[in-house]
Amino acid sequence: MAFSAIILTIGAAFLTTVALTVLTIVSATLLGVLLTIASILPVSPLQKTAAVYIQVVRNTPLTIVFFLVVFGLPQVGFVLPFFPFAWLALTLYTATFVAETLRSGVLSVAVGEVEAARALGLSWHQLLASLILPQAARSIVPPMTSNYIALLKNTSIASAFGVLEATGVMVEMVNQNSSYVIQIMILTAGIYLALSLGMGLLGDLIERKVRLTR
Amino acid sequence: MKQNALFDSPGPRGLRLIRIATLIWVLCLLLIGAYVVWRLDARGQLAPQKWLPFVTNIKLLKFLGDGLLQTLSASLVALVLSLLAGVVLAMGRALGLAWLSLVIGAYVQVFRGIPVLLNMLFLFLGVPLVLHLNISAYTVVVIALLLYNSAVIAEIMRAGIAALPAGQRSASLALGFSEFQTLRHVLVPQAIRLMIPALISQFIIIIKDSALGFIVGFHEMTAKAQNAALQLGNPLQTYIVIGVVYVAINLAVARMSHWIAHRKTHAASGH
Repeated sequence: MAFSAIILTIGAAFLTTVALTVLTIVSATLLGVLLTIASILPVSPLQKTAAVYIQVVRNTPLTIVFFLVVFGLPQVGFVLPFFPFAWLALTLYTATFVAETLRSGVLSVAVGEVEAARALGLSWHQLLASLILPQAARSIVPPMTSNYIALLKNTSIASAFGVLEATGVMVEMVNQNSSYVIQIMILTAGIYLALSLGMGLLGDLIERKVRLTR
Repeated sequence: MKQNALFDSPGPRGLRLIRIATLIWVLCLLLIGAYVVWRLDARGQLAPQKWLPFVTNIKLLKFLGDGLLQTLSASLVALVLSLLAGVVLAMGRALGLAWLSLVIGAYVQVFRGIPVLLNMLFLFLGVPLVLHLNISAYTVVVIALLLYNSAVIAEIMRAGIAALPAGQRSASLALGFSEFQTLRHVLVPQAIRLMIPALISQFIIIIKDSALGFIVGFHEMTAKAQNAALQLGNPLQTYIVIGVVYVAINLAVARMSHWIAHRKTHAASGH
């Protein structure tokens, strides 16, 4: 295979990586928000469910989450292709980190401020919209960016579970083109690096946008 | 506990709402649980012969235990080496030599930005193909973990050094210590103590990442589980058992980190 063809093949595989990352950012954030709400509402079984889920899943290696999804779901009646399985495993895992970040963001708002707002008669809705969420949003941008960059890197594990994303295709290319091994590896690492640095820059940009000069 | 500020102590209406929500959620959990048990049972996944080997089959337990030892051994070696390398990198960056800071900064950026699995595959595929050397799977995993975690620990240490009061460095320099001696005897020891909880948490990440070793043929716990599941025909049960072992180890490590952080704040506040 000519090296230009290899570049195209690996470039195309990165589209799968990016798709998996973007889809999981959306779904893991949604699940993370649900977990955060469950862990904040004063309903004890909801809190406990969220706490147990978060503690168990974030302490399990992502590889094991993949194995459990791939071998477990078919047993309870869900048989899916590789890509949705990988999406689901990444979502279940990443959501726990999103939830932890969101929860510490909400808790970072000083109790005194919340009490002051409530003493002033702000409704629950006003409290959330004008006090808690804007402040939480500021403190969660950097850790959330790290969560999403970790997710981008974690999509590489899907290559071991049948998804032909960048890492999987890289292994194929290395095995088929023994004369370009170093080039293929540097190319793949370079694109991963560019993507994660790009996400970091985007995070910095958003942080600067939402930052308040006090 | 802090969350209570978000809600008033519930009145009669609030209490009723909470009770209804509790009831609904408990019902939901029971329904989901019942469905899962029903499906698993229909598929024969709850059969004793699928679970009992983990209690009765000594050979299986020894097989998986060997894997656990490999996991712990590779993780510990990677942790210790990453600590040493991370401290050296952070010191190199704090010395104030522009070219050295640039090189170390680039190293940190590169290895934090690419997947650990990619490091493993580079070593696993690249070393034999390009350098024509044999490299054991254990070495591949340890070096890959070292490359990533030394970069992360270098950043943790840098934050630790930056968090120390500026007077520490000034005082040390005023006493005639060189930049290197200041780092070696004054700043780094304090920064390490400050960052112990963060460093222990990094151990959890290393243990979890070591499970990637099965992809490059390292016979750690996940790889052994894969083998065992293939022979016994009980993948679901095997991965549940292995998952429980990982969670137990990681929770223990996390608890240790909490305990140390807690003990430290007590010591700092005058016993």
